[in-house]
Amino acid sequence: MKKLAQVQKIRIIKINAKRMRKRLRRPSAAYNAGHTAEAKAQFQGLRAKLPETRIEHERHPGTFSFLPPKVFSFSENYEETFAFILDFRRYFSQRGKQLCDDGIRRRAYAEFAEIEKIGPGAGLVLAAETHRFAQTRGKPARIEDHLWAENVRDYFLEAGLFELLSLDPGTIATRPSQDAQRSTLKFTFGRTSHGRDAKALIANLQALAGHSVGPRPAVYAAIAEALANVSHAYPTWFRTWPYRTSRQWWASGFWSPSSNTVGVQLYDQGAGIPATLPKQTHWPRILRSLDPEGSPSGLIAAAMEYGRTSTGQAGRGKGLAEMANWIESTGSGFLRIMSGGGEVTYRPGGLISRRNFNAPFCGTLVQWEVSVGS
Amino acid sequence: MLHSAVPLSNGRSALEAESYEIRIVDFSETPFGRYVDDGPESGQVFRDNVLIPALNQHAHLTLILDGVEGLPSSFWEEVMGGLVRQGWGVGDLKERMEIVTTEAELETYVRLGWRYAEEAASKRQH
Repeated sequence: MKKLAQVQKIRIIKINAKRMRKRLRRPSAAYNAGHTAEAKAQFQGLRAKLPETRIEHERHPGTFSFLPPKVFSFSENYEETFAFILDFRRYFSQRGKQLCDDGIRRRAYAEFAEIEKIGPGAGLVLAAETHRFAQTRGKPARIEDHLWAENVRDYFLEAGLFELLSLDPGTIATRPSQDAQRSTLKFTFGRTSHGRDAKALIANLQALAGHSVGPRPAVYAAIAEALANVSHAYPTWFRTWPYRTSRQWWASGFWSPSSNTVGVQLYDQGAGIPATLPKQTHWPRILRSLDPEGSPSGLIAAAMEYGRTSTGQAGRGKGLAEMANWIESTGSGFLRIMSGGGEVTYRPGGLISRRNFNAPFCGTLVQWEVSVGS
Repeated sequence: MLHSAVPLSNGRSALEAESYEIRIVDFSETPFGRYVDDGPESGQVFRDNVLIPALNQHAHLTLILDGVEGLPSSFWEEVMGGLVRQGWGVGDLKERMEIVTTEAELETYVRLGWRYAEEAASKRQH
């Protein structure tokens, strides 16, 4: 066999290394197509588990309106709220007019004017959906916010929905009223997370409240751990439909002077904690011992409990427990983690309540609500 | 890897005798994440690029916590527990490294740091 010269050897090694890097970086088109089809089937299966969204034709000329529930909140009205979120994603991911039941093609119209009450978590998730929509379109969305309920319009104006949508402020039909009940923090988002994101979120929250929102290290560690968890949220096998996997996070917050309460919400559109935890090497055995039934909320609660009682290198369990330390350090409020098919609410003293969903949530929503001194 | 003083042929230690100070805040005011994949402010980066080279060079270290926003457990466990997992002994570390802070809110991290190291040592033994 012919002996290769040193230069040729190096060249071959470099080519092979390049091929390997490429293979690791970008899965084949067939691989992607298979996973996308799977993601589409999952989306459709998920949507079928939820109630139908009410649809009205020609409420606005040339459109079909799909109506959100009047109470747009995951804690008070999970199924209808989530159904609207999925329909928003489905209808607005398609370009042009869509075929309606009566055989006529119309444009989709999300009837935000129907919403009378909006929860901060559901508001953030809806804002993230509208942001994804804006990211996929070249032209700005048309918004008729003068038709919206005043509290809903105020919430979205304060939170900066229009900036997320890259809308010219001149096109906004109304201005926010000065509501003394609640001030909302502007939405922030990112693809990568850093400690400075957590610091900025806390600084903005303190500026809104006008004072400290808890012991500095505990608050920083809680939010930093939640942000660090976003990097686990999008494993390489994870695909979404109709949009491609975003690898993004969104955050917001509020200050309620009447109850001296601050709130922070952090959302990602990833695979969810129950789906990603058991894939880590030592988790299946540990979690099964803590939660034999293996329900989604049980897995989250068990991971949190494991983190609270162990200090070792435990992956996300310790991080989840640290997210609860802010609640413990102030002795008030709650931490709610809604992820995949489960939700866990943590209150001071280690009180944990759980619920499982028939239709698993798309991603992870972490919410803190803490009473702080005036 | 150099884990402790390496005697030279003349019997003198290769380590510099004077105490050396490391302020975590000089590395990052906002420590974040466990592994290098989590970013440049992670525990792994701090341990491998700052702490271990200093331990290899100096006989005594003072690790100052002042000024950081906080020390998330993923960062701090990877620093202290990670040292032990890399082969450093807890006794040796306690002899050569002091963790200090003047901020009351950060005092808990001194105790927690050593606890992470001891936990990692006990796991290594099992």
